[in-house]
Amino acid sequence: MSKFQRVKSILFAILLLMVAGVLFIDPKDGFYIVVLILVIGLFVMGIKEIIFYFTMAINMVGGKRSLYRGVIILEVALFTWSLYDVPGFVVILYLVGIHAFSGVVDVLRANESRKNGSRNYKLKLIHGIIDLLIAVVCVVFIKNVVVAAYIYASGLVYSAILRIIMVCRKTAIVYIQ
Amino acid sequence: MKIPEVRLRKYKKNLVTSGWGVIVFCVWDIVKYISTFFIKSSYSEYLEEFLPEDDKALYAFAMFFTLIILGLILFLHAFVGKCAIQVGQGKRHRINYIPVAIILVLMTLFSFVMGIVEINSMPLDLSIASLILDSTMLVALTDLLISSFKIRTLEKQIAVKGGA
Amino acid sequence: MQEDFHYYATYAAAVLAGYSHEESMEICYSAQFVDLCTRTFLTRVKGPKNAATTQLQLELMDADTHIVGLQDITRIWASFHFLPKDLYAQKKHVTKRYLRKYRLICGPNGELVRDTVNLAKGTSLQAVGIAMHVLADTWAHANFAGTPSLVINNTDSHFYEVYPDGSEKQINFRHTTAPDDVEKGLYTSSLFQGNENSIMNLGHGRAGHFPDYSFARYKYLPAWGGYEEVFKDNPSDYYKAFRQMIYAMKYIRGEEPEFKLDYYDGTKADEHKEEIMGIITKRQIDACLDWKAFGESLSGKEIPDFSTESYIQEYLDAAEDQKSGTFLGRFFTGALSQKSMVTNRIYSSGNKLAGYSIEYKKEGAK
Repeated sequence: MSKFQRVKSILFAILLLMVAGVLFIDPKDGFYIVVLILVIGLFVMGIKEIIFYFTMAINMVGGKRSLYRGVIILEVALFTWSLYDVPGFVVILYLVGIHAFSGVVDVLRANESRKNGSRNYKLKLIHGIIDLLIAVVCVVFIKNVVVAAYIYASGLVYSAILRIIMVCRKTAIVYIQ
Repeated sequence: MKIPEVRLRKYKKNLVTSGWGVIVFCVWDIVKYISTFFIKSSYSEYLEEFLPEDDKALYAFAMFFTLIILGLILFLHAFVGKCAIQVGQGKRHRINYIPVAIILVLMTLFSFVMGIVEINSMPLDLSIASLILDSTMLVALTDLLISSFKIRTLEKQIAVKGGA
Repeated sequence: MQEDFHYYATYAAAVLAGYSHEESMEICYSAQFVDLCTRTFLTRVKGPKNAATTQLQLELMDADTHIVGLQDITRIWASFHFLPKDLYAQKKHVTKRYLRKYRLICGPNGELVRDTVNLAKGTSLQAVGIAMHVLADTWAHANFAGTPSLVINNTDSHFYEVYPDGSEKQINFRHTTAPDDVEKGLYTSSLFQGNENSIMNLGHGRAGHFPDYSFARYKYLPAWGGYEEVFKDNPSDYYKAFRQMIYAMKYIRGEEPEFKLDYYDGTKADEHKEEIMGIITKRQIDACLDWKAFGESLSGKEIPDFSTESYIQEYLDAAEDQKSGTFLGRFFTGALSQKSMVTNRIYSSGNKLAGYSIEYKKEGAK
């Protein structure tokens, strides 16, 4: 990881922690921040997809799909911002989907490692189980917007910590000929 | 200049993608419309500007009529999109969807122009969203029309080459 | 390619190139082991993690698709399974970002193949085996790149199997865990993922295992091909791969003065051409038994079944300063060498997709 990438990662981790802090302090009003994050996320995704079309997919067979996909995502972002009272459900479903999928992959990965005789599978297994638990909790409290905000905030803290760990990890990318 | 067969393949793929684009954009537009008027705010509040109060039958008819119009718009877009996809996949040769596509282009162009003229009549985010969707729909429909004509031309060219 | 070619066919090629049975076994074992030396395996035997020559499906799913993770994936797959054909390829009206990925497209008879064979000369039999795996894969995996890339590796519905009688059948790939059914022409591939750097878009995942079947003749539209159809004739390519392996090993043994590209052994393979083509063109997913029988007929010796466990105990029992002299130790050294060479070539071409590389002899350790 270059110095610039490390600084960028740390700054993003700090931002995540700040947003998480706001949500823990005031989950009801802070929920608008969650919506804002979702809208910004979608907006950035849409713009990225459109840029991707013009820089890469324009040379690809069937690449025009990327342009249309980018526009739709952008549209959803702009429209979601105007429907701030609807996305409570959307946020919760998004959390459930992300954490459940991530949890399943981690558990399978840990199982594969265990079958191969590796002893370092436990951390991955715990990580996977935690993700699955978060998904289950989301489903249980799906009608409670305040809990959704707390869960989302926990997810932000978790992501921030992981980012900091990644920054501090030694990355072996220099190959000596 | 690429050989005709290669260009034909390209335009067929374009036609399939544009066909899907037209259908998806139309569906999304209708979802947005319904969300705005039937979920976010009351459609009846909107109708109050045009219709006398307390006439429930008229309100019901207006809502029903609106849904019919939305259904018709969806049908036209779906017809054009589906035909384009079938032509692109080689499952259909008739291009009788072209006149309908031209009408849709004109309608979208009108909507786009009105969107600019009346940009302040709605919240800015919704106005911009509409303009983006209209302009992309125009691109998809134009691409669809161009690809349809190019396919016709190239197929004739290849047929002549094959016969020669 | 699969075990049938990497293990048994490589054995046969080594025997035809003049190696003894024991030497051929070391070579073919190493060639097949390239498909099994994962980080998970290396963790188990406490070997150097950077010597990984492949990744498990779940390791891939777990891999970071940030820049560091992508570089790691590219280093492994481009070095061992999708050796780039032309690191200086040109394409008009494309961005630098696109060109970097375009230049990683695999193909036979590129300069890197010559570098790979030269690297193995004068080293261990394990390095020879690694080189043969890499060389063989340049034929089977041509037109795909060893980096996750939608715009390079994607395929679509225009994918047809071409039968020997000239007829064609469209392949609609399934996305299940069911095995391929060659009789019914049912094949599995990875799901479409619109994300450029998704693992599903690595190598020939979008065409499933189909490019690895020696009998397959197919035509399709590669994502990078500008709508031009590519016809892939695996029987012809696999036979060339076999002949080129014999030629390469003869060169490594010193029987040929140089390793020329686009040059194939003429005599040794042709003596058995009918038998080899019979194996290659037979419509079956796994040709291990046929190649095994062929190899055993050449050497008169039995070829044991492949097992990942064969050399583990030797490595584990060896003292730290003796490990590099064991079978696995020599394999790891060869793998590190190959990965280092390819990464350096990619980096030197101005492409950072495989990460950074420095020339120790010029710049020293940093």
